[in-house]
Amino acid sequence: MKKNYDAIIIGAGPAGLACGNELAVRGLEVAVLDEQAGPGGQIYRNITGTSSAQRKILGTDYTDGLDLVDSFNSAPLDYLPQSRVWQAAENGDVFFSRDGASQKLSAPNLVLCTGAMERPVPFPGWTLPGVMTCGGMSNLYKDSGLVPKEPLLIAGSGPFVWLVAEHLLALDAPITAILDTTPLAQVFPAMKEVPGAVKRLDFMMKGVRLIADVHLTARKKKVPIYRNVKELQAQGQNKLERVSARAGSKQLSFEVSTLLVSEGIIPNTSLLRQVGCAHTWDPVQRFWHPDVCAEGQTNLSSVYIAGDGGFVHGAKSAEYKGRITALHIAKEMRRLSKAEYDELVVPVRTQLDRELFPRPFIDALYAPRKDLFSLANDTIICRCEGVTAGRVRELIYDGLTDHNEIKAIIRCGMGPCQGRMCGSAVLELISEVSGLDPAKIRQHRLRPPIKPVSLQELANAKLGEHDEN
Amino acid sequence: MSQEKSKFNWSEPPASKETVNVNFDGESLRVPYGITVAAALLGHDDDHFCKSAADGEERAPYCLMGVCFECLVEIDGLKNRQACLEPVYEGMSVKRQHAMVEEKNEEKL
Repeated sequence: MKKNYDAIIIGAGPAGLACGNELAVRGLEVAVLDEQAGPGGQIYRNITGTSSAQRKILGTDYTDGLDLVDSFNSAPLDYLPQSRVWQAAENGDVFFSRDGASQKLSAPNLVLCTGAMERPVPFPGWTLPGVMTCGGMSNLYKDSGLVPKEPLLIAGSGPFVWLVAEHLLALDAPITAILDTTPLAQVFPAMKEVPGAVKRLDFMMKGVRLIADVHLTARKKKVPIYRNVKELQAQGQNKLERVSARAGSKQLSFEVSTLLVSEGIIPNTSLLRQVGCAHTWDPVQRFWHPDVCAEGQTNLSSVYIAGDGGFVHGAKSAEYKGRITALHIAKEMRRLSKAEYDELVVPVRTQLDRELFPRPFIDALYAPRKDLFSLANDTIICRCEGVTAGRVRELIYDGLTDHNEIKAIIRCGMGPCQGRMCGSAVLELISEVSGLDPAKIRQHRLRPPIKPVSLQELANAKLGEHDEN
Repeated sequence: MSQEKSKFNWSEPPASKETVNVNFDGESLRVPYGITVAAALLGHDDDHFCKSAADGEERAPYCLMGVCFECLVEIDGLKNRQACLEPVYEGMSVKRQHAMVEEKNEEKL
């Protein structure tokens, strides 16, 4: 297998696919590494393997990815699915495990398309089997067509909650109730962003229609929708049996075996931080995102970022960002003249701009609510090591304001997920107790390998010409 | 496909009619070809996947997209495989594992 490429793309979601297609068309030698078994990322997961019935349920937001994946499958590039990247370096070296062995590839251009993940928000009982993210349920359906047959609840805030509710209602899943945790107080400030958003009236209407349809179908099926829901708790012995919550003055309790939660989407920055990309704190969305220029450049000259890993703007935007970055790299590699580049990039940029019009409205409406991380002391925040919010608070009271120091003492963030699940919560706790602005708090460091690598995989390393024998 | 113990249904015949045999903790499961190990296990039995290294509590997949590491299983002798990322294949042997505990014990030995 080749060891050196013009560009290595990490991630085969919309950004990675579009970037790979565009670079391959321009004659560059490209490798695309991805964790999953097939192209599509999370949004277009298993798109070539789903049945027509599944596609009908998932709708055009899903099937829109077919063309992209078709082009990708016929593009002249090296696609390496089931590759777990555990280290990437500023100089363009990428280390990963595949087929039980570690390997290394190199390129003068790395395009990191790591995508987004659900914001992990701890609450009492969230570690019980039966509590899953809405995205997880969606993936399960895309993978295999599995649908809950026992009573379930959907709880959270954001467009994704309504999308998953729509799918599960259409599939006749026995939804006990839908709990909307968006604070009513947030609806009014969002209204000032409406003028910008209506420039994409079609997009806004799609959202309005989705929510209206879910309400209509839910009423027909007698599925109650509660608003302004707080104090979500999952309870049970060894697995989920009951969920309690409060809506206004009303105390709610439900017997369910599945709870689907979603509190927004954040960039998946593990690899980006390990490589050394500079990040900025977004005070509205309350997440760290890498500093990315218009063409995907970062503070590291050989490293580009495209798609939701840079900032969460959705699948279509990710695709356009991937193409723009590819065109830029093709220009830098002298496969396109400046004039050709300008001609090609303008229409893509226009499409991206159109996609971004409604974002300020959506971001304001579904911004994380103030009390999202008001965590009870006995709530587990580090799932891997079973560390509670109270234990972390004690250390912050003692004067620690660095997640890395906290980790060294109580292992919070030291388990296999390497802080992916507790990072947001620890940051919020440090800010809450110390009063520090999160922007001033040191980020949780990620050291390679950022994915567990077995000794056997390292022993079987095929790291380069000299190491091979 | 035995699904009595699962709280999930295969909503319609999967796109692929082909099935494969997977051995899960000594029990033979027949599951659709092409699905992930996580889907195969959830479709068979909603029980736990692994036990927490910290407190021994039972855990099951939370994110199903490769981030949470709560679906770690042993596949054909290799520990700590993320069930949500690995597709099933004929003759695969899957075992529940106690998170990373066993590896730690091995290190101590």
